[in-house]
Amino acid sequence: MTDQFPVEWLDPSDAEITWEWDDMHMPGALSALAGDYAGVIAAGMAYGHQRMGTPVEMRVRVWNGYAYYGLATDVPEAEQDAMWERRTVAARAAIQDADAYWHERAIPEVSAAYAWVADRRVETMPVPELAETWDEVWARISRCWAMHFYAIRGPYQVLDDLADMYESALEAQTPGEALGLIGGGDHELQAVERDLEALAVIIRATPGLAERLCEPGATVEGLAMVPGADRFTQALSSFLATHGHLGQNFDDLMLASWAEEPSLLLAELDKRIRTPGTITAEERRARLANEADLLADRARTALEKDPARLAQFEALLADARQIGHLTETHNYWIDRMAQASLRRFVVRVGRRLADIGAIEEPEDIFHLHRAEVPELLRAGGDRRALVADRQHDLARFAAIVPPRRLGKPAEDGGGDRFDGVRLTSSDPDELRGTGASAGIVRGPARVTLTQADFEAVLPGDIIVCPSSNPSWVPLFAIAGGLITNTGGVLSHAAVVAREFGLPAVVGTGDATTRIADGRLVELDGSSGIVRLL
Amino acid sequence: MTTSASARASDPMVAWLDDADIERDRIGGKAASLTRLASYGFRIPPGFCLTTDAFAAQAASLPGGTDRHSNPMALLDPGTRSALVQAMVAGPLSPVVAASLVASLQLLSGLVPGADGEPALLAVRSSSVAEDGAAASFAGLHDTELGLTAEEVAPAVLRCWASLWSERAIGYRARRGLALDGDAMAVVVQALVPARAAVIVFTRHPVSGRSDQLLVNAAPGLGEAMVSGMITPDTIVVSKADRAVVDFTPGESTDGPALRDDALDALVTLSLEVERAFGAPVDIEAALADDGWYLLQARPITTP
Repeated sequence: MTDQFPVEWLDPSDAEITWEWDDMHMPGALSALAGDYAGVIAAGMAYGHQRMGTPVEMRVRVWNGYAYYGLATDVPEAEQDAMWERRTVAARAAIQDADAYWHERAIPEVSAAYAWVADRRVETMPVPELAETWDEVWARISRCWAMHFYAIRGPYQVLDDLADMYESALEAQTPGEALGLIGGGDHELQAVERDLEALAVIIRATPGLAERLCEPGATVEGLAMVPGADRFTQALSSFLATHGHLGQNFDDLMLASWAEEPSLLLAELDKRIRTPGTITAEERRARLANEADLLADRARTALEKDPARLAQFEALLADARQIGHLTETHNYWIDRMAQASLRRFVVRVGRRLADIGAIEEPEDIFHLHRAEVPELLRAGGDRRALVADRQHDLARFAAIVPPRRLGKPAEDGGGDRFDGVRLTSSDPDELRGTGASAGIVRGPARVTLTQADFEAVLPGDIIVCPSSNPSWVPLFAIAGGLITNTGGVLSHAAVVAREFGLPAVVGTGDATTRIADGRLVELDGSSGIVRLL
Repeated sequence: MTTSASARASDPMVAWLDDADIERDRIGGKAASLTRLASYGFRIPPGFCLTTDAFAAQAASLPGGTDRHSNPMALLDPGTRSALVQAMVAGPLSPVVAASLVASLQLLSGLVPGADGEPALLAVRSSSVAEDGAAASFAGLHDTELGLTAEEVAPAVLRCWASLWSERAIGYRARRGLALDGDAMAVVVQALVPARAAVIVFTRHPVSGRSDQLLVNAAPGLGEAMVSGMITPDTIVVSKADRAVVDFTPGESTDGPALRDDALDALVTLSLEVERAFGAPVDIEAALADDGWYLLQARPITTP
C-alpha cells in the first residue's frame, strides 16, 4: 500500500475482498495479544453467520497494529442480496427464542466460563499444565463470543423491524426517534449508575470521606483509613464484585477494568460529590419510560385505521420491550466480562513469565502472541528483546491514522442501523452525523480517547469519542451530549445515550480529529448536525 | 487384489478398498470412489482406509476431547483451531488405532512386493466425509503424501487428519455454507504403483467442452509433479470415434513421448469403460506400471 501503512497479504485471495478497519470497537493500535483477541471476536462473528446459515467466511487481519475484518463468500454478487435477505429471515426466527436463550443458556454458560477462568490456580500450577490451561481459557472465552453473536441477532432484528414499522407509519421523524419506543427499561446499565449514586450517598454521609476522596491521588487504601469508612469500603467491594468488569473503554485487551484499577471509579465518584446531579437515575428512567409510551401512542394513532398493521406493531413492540435491551446488555455480560476475565488471567500468567525471567514485567505478556505463550511456558526462553521491539513498533503504530478500508475498493453503502453511514459537510464549522438521541445542547467538547481522558469529562461537557460501550455509563450519566466518529442509531453509543437521555450525534467520521478539546460546540440530536461555535 | 477374509476380521477402524460393502460416511468421498472403481471391476492399487471410527478414537484422545473438534465455535477460533491442529499432528496414535494400522500395513506389504526386494512405498490420502465429489470438489484442500515407508505412515495419517482443520479448509466450508461440526476424516493408505508414466484424462475436453474427444495429459514417472503443475506434460487429444490422435503437443520431458502407442490405446479403452460405468464424463488419474494400467482416481467432471 503506502510507505506509511505497508500491507502484506497473508493469502493472495485477501487482496480480492474488502477489509474494514474496526474503528468502532478497536480505534487504537493493538499489541500482539490484543490483536489475537480481535481474532477471537471475529471467530464469534463467523459462528453467528454459521448459525444463521449464511455462507460467508469471516477473516480478520491485524496490519500495523490495526484490526481489519473481511468477508469472503462464494455466493455470486447478484445473489448476495438474497443471501442477506435469508439471513434476515433467520434472525427473525431467532426473536421468539432470544429471551430464553439469553437467560437460560447464555448467561449461565458465560458465567460458568468466567468462574472457571478465575478459579485456575495460575500461581501454583506446574508450568506444562499452565500451557494447556492457557489454550483452554482462550477456547472458553472464544465460546462466550460465539454465543454473543447468536444471542444478539434476534434483539437487533426486532428493533430494526420495529423502527421500520414506526418510520413507515409516521412522517417527519428523526432517525433515533423510533428506538425511543423501548426507552426507560430497567436493566444492568441502569443498575450501574444507580449503584454508583448509592456509593456517592454513602460518601456524603461519612464525615471526612468526601474530603479525602477529592484530594489529588486518592486511593481506595487511603479512603479505607478514614474512621467510619467501613460501610463505604464494603459497598465499594460489592459494587466491584458486580460491575467491576467494566472500565475498559474499548475492546483492547490491554485495558484494565475497574476491579483492577478502582482509581478509575474514584474519579467518577469524585465528580458526583463535587457536582451532585439534578436528577436521579430512577427519575430519568421514569421520564424515558413515559416518553416511550407517548411514542407508542403516536404510532397507535397513526395505525388506527389499519388493524392488521396495528396488531403487528403491538407484537413487535412487546418483543422489542422484552429483548431490545439485549442490544446493549449483552455487551455488559459478554464484551466487557469476557475481556476483563481474560485480561486478569493473562496478567496472572504474565507474572509467572516475569518470575522465570522470560519477560520483564507481567504486562509485557501483551506483546507476545497467543500461540507464543504456551510455547514459552513449555520450552522457556528470554523474550525481553522481542518485547522491547514490539513495544517500539506499537508506539510507532499508535501515531498512524490507518485507512478505513483496504483491499477491494467499496462504496459507502446505505449502512445498517448498527454501523450507520458516514456523512460529510462542506461547511468547515459543521459536522454531520446521524441524530441518535434527540435534544439540542451546547457545551465544551471533551475529546475522550483514553481511560485517562475520562477524568476530564465534567457535568455538562460534550463527549467526543470514537464510540462507546457500557463502561462509559458513568460519563453518559453526567455529560451534556455525545458526538461519536462511528456507528448508527443501533450502535453501542446510540443505545446507551438514549438510555440516559443524552442528546447524541453518531457516525460523524472524524469528530475526534476535527474538534479541538475544549471547543464550544452545539449538537442537535435530531438533525444530526454539530456546529463548532 | 485378494485379501483373505480371515486376515481382515471385522475391525471397525479399517475398511479394505476392494470391499464394496462399506457406508460412504465411514470412509469418506475419496475412499468411496475407490471402492466404487474396484466394485466396477477396475484395477486400483491395493490399500485400505482408516475409517471415521479411527478418526473419532484419535480425536477423542486430544485435549478437550470430542467436544472441541466437533464444535464449530472452536473451529472458527484461530487459536483453538491451531492448538487442535498441533495436538493432532504431535500424536502419538492412540493404542487402538495404532494396533489396527500396524496389522493392516503388514497385510498390505504381503500383497505388494516392492521393487528390488525393498518393501513397497505407500501413499496416504485424505478422504473427508464432507467431500462431495460431484457437487463441490475439495481438490487440493486436504493432503496427500506419497513415497512413504511403513514407518512414515502414522505421522502422515495424523497430518492428514489435522488438515481437516486447516484455515483454508475451514474457510472454504464457511464460504460455501457447509456444516463445520460433525465433520470427520477418513484416510486412505494405498500401495504406490511403481509407475513408468502417469496420466490425467478428461473424457470431455475441459476447455472446448467437446465430448467426442478425450484429452490426455501424460508425464513420465509418478505423476505428482504433473498434478501439482510443476512440469508440463504431453498433451494428447484423441477422437473417441476412431481413436485417432487428433493433436499432440510434447511436454517438457526430453525422453520423447511419455506413452507408447499400445499404452495409449489401452488407456483409451480404460477411459471409455470408466465413462460408461459412471454414465457421465469423468476425469481420471491413472498410472502405468510394468503390468499395465492402474486407476488412481475417477470422478464425474464438476460443471463449473
